[in-house]
Amino acid sequence: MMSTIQNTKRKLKRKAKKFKLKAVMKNRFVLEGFYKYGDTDKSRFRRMLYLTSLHLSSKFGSISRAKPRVYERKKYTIKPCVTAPESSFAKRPSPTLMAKKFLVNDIISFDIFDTLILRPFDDPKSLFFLLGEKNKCPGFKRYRELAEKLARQEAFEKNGTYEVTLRDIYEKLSRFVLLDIDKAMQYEIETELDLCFANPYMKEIFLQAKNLGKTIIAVSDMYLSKDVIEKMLRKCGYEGFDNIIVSNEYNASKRSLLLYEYIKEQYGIEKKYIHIGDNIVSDNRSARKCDIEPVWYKGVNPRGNAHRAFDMTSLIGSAYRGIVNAKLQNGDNQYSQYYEFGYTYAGFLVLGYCKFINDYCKNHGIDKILFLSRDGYILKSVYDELYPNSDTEYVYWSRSAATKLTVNRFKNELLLRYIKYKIPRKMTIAKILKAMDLEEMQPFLDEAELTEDTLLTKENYEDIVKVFTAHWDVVTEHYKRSNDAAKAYYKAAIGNSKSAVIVDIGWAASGFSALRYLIEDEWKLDCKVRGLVAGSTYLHDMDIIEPQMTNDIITSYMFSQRINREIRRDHDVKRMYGAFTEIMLSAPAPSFIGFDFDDDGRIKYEFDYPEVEGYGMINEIQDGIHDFVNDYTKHFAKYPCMMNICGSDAYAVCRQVISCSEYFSNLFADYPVNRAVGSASFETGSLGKLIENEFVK
Amino acid sequence: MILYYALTTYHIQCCVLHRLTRKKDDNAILLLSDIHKNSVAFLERYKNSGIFDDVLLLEESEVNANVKQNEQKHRSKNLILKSACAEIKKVLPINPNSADELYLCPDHFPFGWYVIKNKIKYHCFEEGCGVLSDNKFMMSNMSRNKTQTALMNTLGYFGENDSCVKILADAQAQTEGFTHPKMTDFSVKRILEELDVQTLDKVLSFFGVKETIKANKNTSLILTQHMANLGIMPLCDQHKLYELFADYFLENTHIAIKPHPDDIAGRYKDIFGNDCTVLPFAMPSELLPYVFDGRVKTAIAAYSTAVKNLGNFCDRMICFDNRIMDDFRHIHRYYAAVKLAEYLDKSDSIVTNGNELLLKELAKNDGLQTEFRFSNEISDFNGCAIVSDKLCENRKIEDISAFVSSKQNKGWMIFLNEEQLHIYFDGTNKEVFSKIRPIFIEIKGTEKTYQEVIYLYSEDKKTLEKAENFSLTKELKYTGVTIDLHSISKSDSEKIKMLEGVLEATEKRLNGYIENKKAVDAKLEARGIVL
Repeated sequence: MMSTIQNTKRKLKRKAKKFKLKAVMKNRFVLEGFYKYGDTDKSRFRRMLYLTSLHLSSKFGSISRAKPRVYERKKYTIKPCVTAPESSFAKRPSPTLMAKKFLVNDIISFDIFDTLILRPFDDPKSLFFLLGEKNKCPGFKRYRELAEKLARQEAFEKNGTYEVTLRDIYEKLSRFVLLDIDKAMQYEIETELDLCFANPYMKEIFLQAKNLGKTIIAVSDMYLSKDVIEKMLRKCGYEGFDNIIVSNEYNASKRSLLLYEYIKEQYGIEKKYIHIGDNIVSDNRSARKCDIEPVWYKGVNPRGNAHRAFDMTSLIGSAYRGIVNAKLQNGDNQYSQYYEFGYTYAGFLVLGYCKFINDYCKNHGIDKILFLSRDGYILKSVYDELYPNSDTEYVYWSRSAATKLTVNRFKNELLLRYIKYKIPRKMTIAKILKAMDLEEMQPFLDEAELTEDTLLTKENYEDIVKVFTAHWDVVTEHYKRSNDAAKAYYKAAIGNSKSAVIVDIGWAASGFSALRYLIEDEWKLDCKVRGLVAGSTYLHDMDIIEPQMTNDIITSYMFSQRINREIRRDHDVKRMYGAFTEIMLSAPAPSFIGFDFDDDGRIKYEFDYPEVEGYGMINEIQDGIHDFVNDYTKHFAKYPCMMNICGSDAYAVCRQVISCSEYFSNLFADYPVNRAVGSASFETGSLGKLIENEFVK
Repeated sequence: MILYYALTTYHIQCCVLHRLTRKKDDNAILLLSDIHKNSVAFLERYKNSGIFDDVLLLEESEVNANVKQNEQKHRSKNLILKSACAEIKKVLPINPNSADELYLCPDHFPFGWYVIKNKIKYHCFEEGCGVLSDNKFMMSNMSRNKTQTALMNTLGYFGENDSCVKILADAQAQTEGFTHPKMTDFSVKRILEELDVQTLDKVLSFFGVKETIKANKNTSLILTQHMANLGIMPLCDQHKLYELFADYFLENTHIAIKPHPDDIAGRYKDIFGNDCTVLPFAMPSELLPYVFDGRVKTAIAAYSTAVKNLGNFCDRMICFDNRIMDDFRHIHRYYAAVKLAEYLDKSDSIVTNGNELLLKELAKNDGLQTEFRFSNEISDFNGCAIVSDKLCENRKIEDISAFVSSKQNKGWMIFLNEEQLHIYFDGTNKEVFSKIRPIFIEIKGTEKTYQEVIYLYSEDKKTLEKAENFSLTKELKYTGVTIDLHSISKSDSEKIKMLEGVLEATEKRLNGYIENKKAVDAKLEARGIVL
């Protein structure tokens, strides 16, 4: 009785959900109105009323009837986990609890696919893309799916069951494409074997059953043969099954209950059984009907996809989602939100960017890679792991250092960054000079009645500039020592390289431009340098690096004027997209200020006040990045093409999180932000405050 | 008819021994709770043993689950008690009133509540050996069960109520001078010693022991606890704890493991390999001397009460207290500290605020009889000391570093620095670094290498110079890592140069805060507010 009520409830819920989906997807006006402007805090009833009013407006107003696409809805419905780590929602019974359950049962049965074994895709059919490549057959995925459908229909007509073998499917494939069946089947088996991996949570559960000396069986509704499945299980470290039961060998499935009945017949009806599997029908309800205690292990992908980026290329997108889902949803471990941020979002960007850098270096004959501090810290660390034989260097650099070192050329930069941009901060002349480390300018300023206590204002800015211009030789002389130290440092870093690339995150590549001028023109080091940025956009001047890009001196990975312009338009700097992306690549080190020599004539490095409050978070983010890169490269070790993550895919993953300001205001509210870099203020603000200010603006 | 009710393996053992020695001629029924899954799993074996006239299963787990549900619904404790008693009444396979005598162990679960609430006379066994007088650990375990704790005073658990007639407890295992008016001596250890061979075999086979194990001079025994089951730590950490125990204390020995009866999930064959012996978990540890044919070299436990019953069964008994559950994570640091202390000076007495038991046992590995004296007083650290970061739990770092800087004797201090608090440095006393030598602990695994650092402080230059040459390597077979202890190397000097810059900046920031605070304090003082 209870179960009938529950079933009816479930059915009604499903129908209501379908109805709502249909209503929301009426047209773009309704969709956007409902998700973008609808208040999610309202009660269900009020939301329904609002939806109805949207429908009425759309019906009677002059509104475009254009149908929205599914991805447009997903933009609103798929969100990162904001309040708590995603892995904390994957509540699975602990190994100790499962061991207790096993203790009182005689036969422990496991489902195989998506339970014991996982594949690095959110949809196992994505594997057919790789098969299409092996078979050199465009459209293979579609044919393979249709062939399976045909084979199952035929089997049902003949035998009354939908059970088929791999050969049955491939024989049907000849209806669409003529392939060497044996070879094509071998490709599929080989690929399955290459890509499958053990579910770490289930492995522990399996070992618990084995440790207790229980009879363990594996049961699957699958078209692959028992031999192949046995090999896959062995590859994943599962050994010690009493039997592996595959539906196609018995013409009976779990869903139809026949396979369970067969098992009970084989092992004895009086025995106590427990079955663990991911499918709600075949592994849960069917098992229960056969008096087998079910343990439903909801699949990692249905759980995880509610939070995953979707607007990506099919194959890479599926791989990304599959790997992240497997990690965060399997139930083996709980991670911190910072770790998950690194694993889920930053790792993918870093991996894609590193591969892009490597390809670039190969294509341009680059023999040295310089990763600029601080965003280059994690990039270098991952790059060295991926390409251990490359000649790389992490070099200290910053806007602040660049401004001082390039006073012989970029005069206005110094005046802008250290003086003009500080006008709103109401600083005194003394403070400004301290930040510039140029106290010797004070007597000249005094002459112009700009004393130490004078406040910097719009009105006196030009007067200050005049004094500086008149004594520019003092400025250049002052920074000369620092310039010499920088030259020595970079000479050693570049070494014998004749062609180097400088890697930065973005956005206007000012760091690269300054360094290029110093290396090639001022210091005259015998090395040509190029620049790479993850993205290129600049709030004040969109075209700032256009000439260098046209000249192939700077190349962008994700977007620029030249590539993915629609992404560039989407990348809303005013909504702090740039700042949020930079958090992904932040380093647990203070900002670099400049070079000098110590008393022994050795190079001395000067740093700004360290934002130590954020180092813990950054270390966890970086752990997540490393683990993602390791997992991804391990899974696809035999498929190097999977490393080719295009910039728009990397951005789709970034965009999902950087467009969600709640995520940052929740997770990084205390993240230190020193907006006054180079202004000799030890006080830092927090990202939470900054978000509040920017979004209120 | 005698009715026994038992929940844990220890309790079942008490009932079995009581039945065999004190009530052998009576009709006896054993009522087992299904909360303990071992009872469900081994029910048939218990029935077939013939020790009891019948063995029944009480479906108490559902009642217990409903108690937890009611707790979540914030029902009052009296309501929960009432409904639990009503449910117990429904599922009782036998009426406890029909028994001439009722023996309960324990009485703080729903069946016990039912008995106490209905004022049925009973006798109870103590929770564990010696627990009647020392129940701290048990109480801390029980504190996680809200209702059970809330009902404690109302019902009077552990025999502290009018319905309980006698408390059967091991009088010799209680703390010195302890007395209790209801206590009747019942020592599992002594009863087992006095059992004849036939009866002993009966007991052994009741608990699934089929054969005796030949022990030699090279056999060690690990007695595990069920920390993962209690939710104290994840299973992987529990495994790690015993791996480290084996690596540090049971090197080159044949390992036998006796899992705690509730340690069902411990996978010891997987950890220690097929060569190790894993005894049945559902066997009480008191039977160990009768399972082994001979003495074992070392027996080790984290914090087991069962150890008290092992007596002369082993040459060396290692047992810590519940601090080990945190301290095992820093065992490499402790090891390095002991080795460094040995290398510097074979001191007879070392003061520590860390885990003195762990230090003592690590030192004993090398045959040293160094006394490790526990003290939380800074003033005691004026000789040789091993200092844990726990020192700053109730003290300011400034006070600690002030003491360190003022030290004028020729001793030394080893800072374990478990939480990387660097308690010797308050942000200003930079000169302390000239008297500090870091000792690096490189932990090299198959996939990753990571580093921990402990710090030696000494006023004596010779001691510091000696420490610079300290180096040692140890392979940890079961943990799968190699530990390399060494002082600073030349290759690190460049890195240090960089770090000096970072440190300088950190200091500036700290000074900024200090100056700021001073200014605020001055302002407040000017207004007549003193903090």
